[in-house]
Amino acid sequence: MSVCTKIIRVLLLLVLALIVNVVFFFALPVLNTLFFDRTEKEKTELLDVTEVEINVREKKQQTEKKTLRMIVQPNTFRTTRSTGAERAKGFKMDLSLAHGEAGDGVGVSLGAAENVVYEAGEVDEQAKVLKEVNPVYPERAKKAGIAGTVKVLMVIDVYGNVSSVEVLSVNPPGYGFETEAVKAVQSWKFEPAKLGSFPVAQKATKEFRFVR
Amino acid sequence: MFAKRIFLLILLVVVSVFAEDNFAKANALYDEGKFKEAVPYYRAAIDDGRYEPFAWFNLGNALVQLKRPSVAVVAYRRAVELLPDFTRAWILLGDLYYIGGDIGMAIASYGRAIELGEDSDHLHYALAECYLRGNDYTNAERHYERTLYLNPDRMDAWYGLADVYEKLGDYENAILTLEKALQFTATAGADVHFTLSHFYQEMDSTKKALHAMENGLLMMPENVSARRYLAQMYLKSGEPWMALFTLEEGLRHKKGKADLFVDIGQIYFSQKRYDEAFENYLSAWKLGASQGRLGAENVGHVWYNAGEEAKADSLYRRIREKR
Repeated sequence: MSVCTKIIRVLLLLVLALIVNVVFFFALPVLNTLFFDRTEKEKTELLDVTEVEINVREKKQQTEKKTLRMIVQPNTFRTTRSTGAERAKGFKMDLSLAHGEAGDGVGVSLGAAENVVYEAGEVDEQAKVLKEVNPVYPERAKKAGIAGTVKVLMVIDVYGNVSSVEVLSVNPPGYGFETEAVKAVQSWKFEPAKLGSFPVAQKATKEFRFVR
Repeated sequence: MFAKRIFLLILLVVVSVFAEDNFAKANALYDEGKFKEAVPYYRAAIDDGRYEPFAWFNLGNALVQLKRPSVAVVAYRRAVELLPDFTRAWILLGDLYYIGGDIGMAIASYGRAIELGEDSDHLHYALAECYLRGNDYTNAERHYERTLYLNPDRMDAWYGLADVYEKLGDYENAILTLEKALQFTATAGADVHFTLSHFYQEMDSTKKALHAMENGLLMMPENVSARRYLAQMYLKSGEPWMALFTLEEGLRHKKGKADLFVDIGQIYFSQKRYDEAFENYLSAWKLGASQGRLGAENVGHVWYNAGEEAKADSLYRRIREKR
């Protein structure tokens, strides 16, 4: 009897152990799977944890290294000042007034500018003599008792001065009549010719007769 | 009959006096700087006829003063139509064409003035400028030389002549020209030395270029831009100590100190001499230069990045407090 009781107790203990094992290692996981499946949630939680870890790491990197900034310090200096644009800035015009009198920058040209010197008939008012100097009778002609004539062409500028003289004819030549005539004419003074009420240069001819 | 003649004579005298009045009044207004008020009087004088070419000329002047060059050209043209020998009108006509960029017409107008016997430095200078713009270097050179013969004090003509040689790639003659300018012209200033430096740089003569810049700075020691430029030249030629010396010399003058402090800070920073760099940057920041603050912060960042957070914090605090 006692042996039989012992065997039954052992068997009961084995059965009990089997039941406990089945409950803990089989029934509970099955029940959990069937009624309380939490895998997704656990995964999400796990991800969250991972993200947090990453974020923390990134923030740590930013605070660790500070970026140096570029210093901008331009200098507009140029070594050369000889550019045309620079010089053009300093270009000055002479804007002083003209007063319609000598010194107004009215020149008298010859030759190249044909329209500069007017013929006697082209002006409104002819040049008028203000100062007239007679030529000297050439000494050689005087001694020889020779008379003569000289015809000269002169240009009277806008200031009334004789700017050029040209001998047109001399008769008889060789006695110095033309030299004396030119010398005299060069010291003449005129009131300049007028065209449209302003002074212009004019051509004029003059004949000198050297008479004994 | 006699009475009629007397009446005509009186009328002529009255008209004549009135004409002179318009012209004289316009001139008086012009001399007072009342250019706009002078214009109608010049027009009246033109209508009167007595001083017509001169009235056109003066009207042109008034229009130039009133910044109406295109109308002034018409006035000057009318003046030279009426009085073909009006040299000054030809010159001003040329001036306006030159300023307006009509080089061909400018040369023609100035050429006419030369035909009329004008031989002024202004005329030759303006012609030289026209030829230079038209890439006629031979004529430009000729007229610049004539200008300088007539007036060696014209620094613009010296520069123009040097410009001709530079355009021809003849730096030796360009340098020679400016050296002559220094010799003959009282008005030659520091800019001549700076331009010489430019020519030497073009010829790869670094030492001479540096020397010319130094000469310029001796004449104009307060020129901060030139000083900074010279410092950069020293840096490029591998002489940072000379660059520092040049910049620190500039601190003795009042102008542009903030810029100089920043430049000095930059050099020290590049040499990893952070304490000196910081002090210079901070000085610039104290004078109000934002770049000085950036530089000082950069020094702080360097210490921070090296793990010296306490030192960096103390620098940041000094930047905040500007002390």
